[in-house]
Amino acid sequence: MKDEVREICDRAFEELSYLKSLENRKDQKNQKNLQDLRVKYLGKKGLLTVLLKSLGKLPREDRPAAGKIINEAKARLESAIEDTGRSVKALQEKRVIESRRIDVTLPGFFIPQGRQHPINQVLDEVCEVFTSMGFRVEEGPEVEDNYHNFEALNIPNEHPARDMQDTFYVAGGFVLRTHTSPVQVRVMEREKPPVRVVAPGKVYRCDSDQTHTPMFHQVEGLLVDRNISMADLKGVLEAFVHSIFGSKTPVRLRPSYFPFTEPSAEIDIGCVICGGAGCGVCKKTGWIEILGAGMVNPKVFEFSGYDPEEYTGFAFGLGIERVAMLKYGIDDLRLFFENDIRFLEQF
Amino acid sequence: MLVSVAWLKDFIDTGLSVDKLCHALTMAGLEVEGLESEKEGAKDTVIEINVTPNRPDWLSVFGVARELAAILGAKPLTVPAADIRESEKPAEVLVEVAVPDLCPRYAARVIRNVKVTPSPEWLANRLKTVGIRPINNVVDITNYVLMEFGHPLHAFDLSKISKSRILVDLAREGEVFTTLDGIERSLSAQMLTIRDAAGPVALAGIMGGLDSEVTGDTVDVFLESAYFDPALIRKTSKLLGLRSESSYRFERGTDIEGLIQALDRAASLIVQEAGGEICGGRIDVYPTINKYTPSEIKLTTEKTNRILGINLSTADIESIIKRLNFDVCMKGDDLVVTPPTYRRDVMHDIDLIEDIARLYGYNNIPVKLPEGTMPAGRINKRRNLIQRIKTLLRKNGFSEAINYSFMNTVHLDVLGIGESDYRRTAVINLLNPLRAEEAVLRTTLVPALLENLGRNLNRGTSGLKLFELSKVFVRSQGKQLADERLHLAAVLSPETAKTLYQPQVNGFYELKGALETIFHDLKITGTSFNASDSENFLQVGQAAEIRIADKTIGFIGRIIPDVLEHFGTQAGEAYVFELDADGLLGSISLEKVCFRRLPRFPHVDRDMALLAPVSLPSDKVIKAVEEFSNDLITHVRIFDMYQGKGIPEGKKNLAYSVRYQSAERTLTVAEVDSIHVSLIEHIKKTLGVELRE
Ligand SMILES: [Zn+2]
Repeated sequence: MKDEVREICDRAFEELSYLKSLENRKDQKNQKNLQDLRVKYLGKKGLLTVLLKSLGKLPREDRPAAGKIINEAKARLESAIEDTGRSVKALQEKRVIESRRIDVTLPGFFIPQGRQHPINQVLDEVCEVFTSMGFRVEEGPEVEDNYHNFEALNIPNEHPARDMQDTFYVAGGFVLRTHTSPVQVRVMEREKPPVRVVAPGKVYRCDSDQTHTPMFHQVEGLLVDRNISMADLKGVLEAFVHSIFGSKTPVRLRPSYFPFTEPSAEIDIGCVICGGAGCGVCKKTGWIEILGAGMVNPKVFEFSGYDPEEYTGFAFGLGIERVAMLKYGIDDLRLFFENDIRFLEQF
Repeated sequence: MLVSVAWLKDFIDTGLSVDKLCHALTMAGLEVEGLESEKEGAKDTVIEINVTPNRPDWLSVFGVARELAAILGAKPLTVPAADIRESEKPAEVLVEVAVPDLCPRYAARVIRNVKVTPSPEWLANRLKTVGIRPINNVVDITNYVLMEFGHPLHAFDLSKISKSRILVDLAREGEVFTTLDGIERSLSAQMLTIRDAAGPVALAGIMGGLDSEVTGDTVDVFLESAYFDPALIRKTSKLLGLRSESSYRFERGTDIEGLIQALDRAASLIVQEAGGEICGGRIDVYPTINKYTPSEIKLTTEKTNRILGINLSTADIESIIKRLNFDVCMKGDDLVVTPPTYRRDVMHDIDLIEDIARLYGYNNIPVKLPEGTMPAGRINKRRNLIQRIKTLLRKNGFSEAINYSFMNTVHLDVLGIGESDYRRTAVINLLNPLRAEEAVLRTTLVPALLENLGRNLNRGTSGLKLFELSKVFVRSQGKQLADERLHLAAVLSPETAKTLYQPQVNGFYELKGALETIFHDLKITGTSFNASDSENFLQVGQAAEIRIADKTIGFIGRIIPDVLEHFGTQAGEAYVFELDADGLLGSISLEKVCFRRLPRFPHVDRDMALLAPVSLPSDKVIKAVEEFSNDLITHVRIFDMYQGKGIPEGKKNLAYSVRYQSAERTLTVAEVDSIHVSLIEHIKKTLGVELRE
């Protein structure tokens, strides 16, 4: 009896381990084969079940021992089949997961973003620096009348100062504004001091070559209040230069002339290309002109109805293309208006 | 202006190296723009100074030396010498000034028996270093003194002055006159001439005449030193398109009191180099009424310090001002200052304050930030909205372009923009365009974007999305010449390169989607796209008007291949939109947002598939659902459009999903079904479509 049980068990385990060895290959069938195996040995007519049923044929005293042997064998086989079943299932699941593995290195999906034009990036940045100092952004017409573009800024007709700006003329005494300064005049006509405004925008000069385009961008600023001095002008414009070009950038002021400011100044920064050692960009001087500025000429106040004895102020203007060229190291002005996507995408 | 350093040394010994000299000049407002060191042969350095239009007194070597003396202080200044020995012989030239307001002063000398030869080397070299071509000793001396003193002179061959009579008067209208440069010029009655008994001999202050120039044959010289009205010289010079070293200085203003010094300096040099004798009696027509006396200017120490942000004493100010040759006296606490005659630019106290700042040194002024009241920082809302629109476009893949505001009218023809279209009729012309292609201000952003598109595609870019937000200019009847309208335009050329995930979307819908993102984000409602064939450059059947609340604000559509080809691209497919951005900004209702309670009861979605004629716009169904106006319908959207296999010829399948929801209760299936059925009935009836089972 014992031998018979052992023999059946050995056979069963042998078959089981064969099935186990197959499980890597025929996964679908395996569960069914396991089921068949269970039926063959443990089912109602299974070999061990039949053997258990045949215990009656044994002498009474032998029955408990034999029964125990058979039941133990059944339990062992049962749990072995179950284990195998579980591991087969786990393996199958693993195989499914494996088959669904993705390539995480493939690029993500997105709509490639467009870029902001470098001129407008710099323009916004410049405006932001000034708005953080309490300036408000103002705009004005680009087709401007002679009065606002010239006369009210103390640039009379037939004055040599007109030569400083080559003007595009349109009908009816209008011009394409040669600077954004007329916005100052319009603001002063509308508002009483204190005034802090910046006026960004397109301006036009009848000039086109390597270093000039007939249209370019300027930001003009105006601050008027009581007791504003040239020291304030220096403070505000140094703060501006430092936030655009870095806090270590050297700044210097030198006398200049603009009809609408007096005293007038050019503001130079230490050359950002050569660091002041001298190069082609700074004409070997180590300095680059970046801003024109000055105390508002009392005549301009008079045109706008401000009392020059009560109020003082300063105005400044800068060319955005120039700042952008220095900031990004662009050496050809015309690139700004070709709108080549390979250029635009760099900013 | 070119200045020779060696020449400068005739008047002032600065003891500075060239670099230090340049720095001193630049920091005092005489910006040194360039340097030409050690020109071959000459042991000299020539510096190029950018002289601002307000300082004609710097337009000479002596002027620069004089300023250097002021800048450096305590350096002696040598004045150019004149050694005048007049002969017994009188000048025998009659000078009459018919227009003393235009020629306030006219002085001259007559030098007889000169020997006109090429200039000696020292003279020729000095002129060459500052870029002036030597001609002969007499002419060269007038140029030399011009460069030295900044006062223009002119030498005439006296024998060519008919009847030895000089008349300063306006030209006769239409008169023809040949200037020194050999060009025959037609004069007008606004131009000032120097004339003899026969006619003009010089264009006053601008250029002499060919017939009366000093040549090798000249024996007697009539040397002129005058002062002409700056505005007149400028006007004449502009009218004739003729500028000279002379006109350049006269139009900026010369020293009316210094012209005698220049005249005598030149006369004495002529005698020195060309021999001859100076006739007795200097001619000087200078009516008392024209006598220039600089006005006194009151200056306070308080104002000077207040404007400059410094703290100078009255004595400090006085000493600075005196260095500039201003006369100063005290009246009470105020300084009363009289500028020298060569400083006509100084008229008000602010002009003095500028000079004080210059000599004090701009870089010695302290640095501080403004105190005082900060004006209420009003945010520029319009600008913020514009930024938001631009950001949305960038997120949709559009890069920003900036083009010139000019337009080529030929492009209007290419786009088929009609004769009566405002974009053609209300165009604003430039009176002095640089190029014919840039002769008008643009009324549409499309041509420039199409140029950008063509250029990019030709350079090998595949797929392009560009937008521009810029003004267009339309002639207006109002106070301003131009109605400046902000426009928004974009072009799209679909990506042709294969990409990993790219969903294939028709370019029209991709472009339209970018616009709808803006509408959606800025809560612009009442927008619609209506099929329209009104733009000739857009493909018939693939174009629409963009409307907000029944007002057309722009167009969108596919560009016809011929137009694309004109702009240099064979890429058969590109789309464009342009709209009035001001109209768009005006329709934004961001501030009207009103919170709606979140629904507490579930919604029910019901689909409907309709068999519709191909020509039926899909939004008609949406409108029909809205018209049906059942409060329980909260939303309807299209989710499928199909045409082709399985659908009868001339028909298309449109599938919509309708959402039903109540704020008060859970809807029953029966209730929803019944509304849905009557909704479908309504749609079938009003649109003539069938339900597709
Ligand atoms: Zn440099």
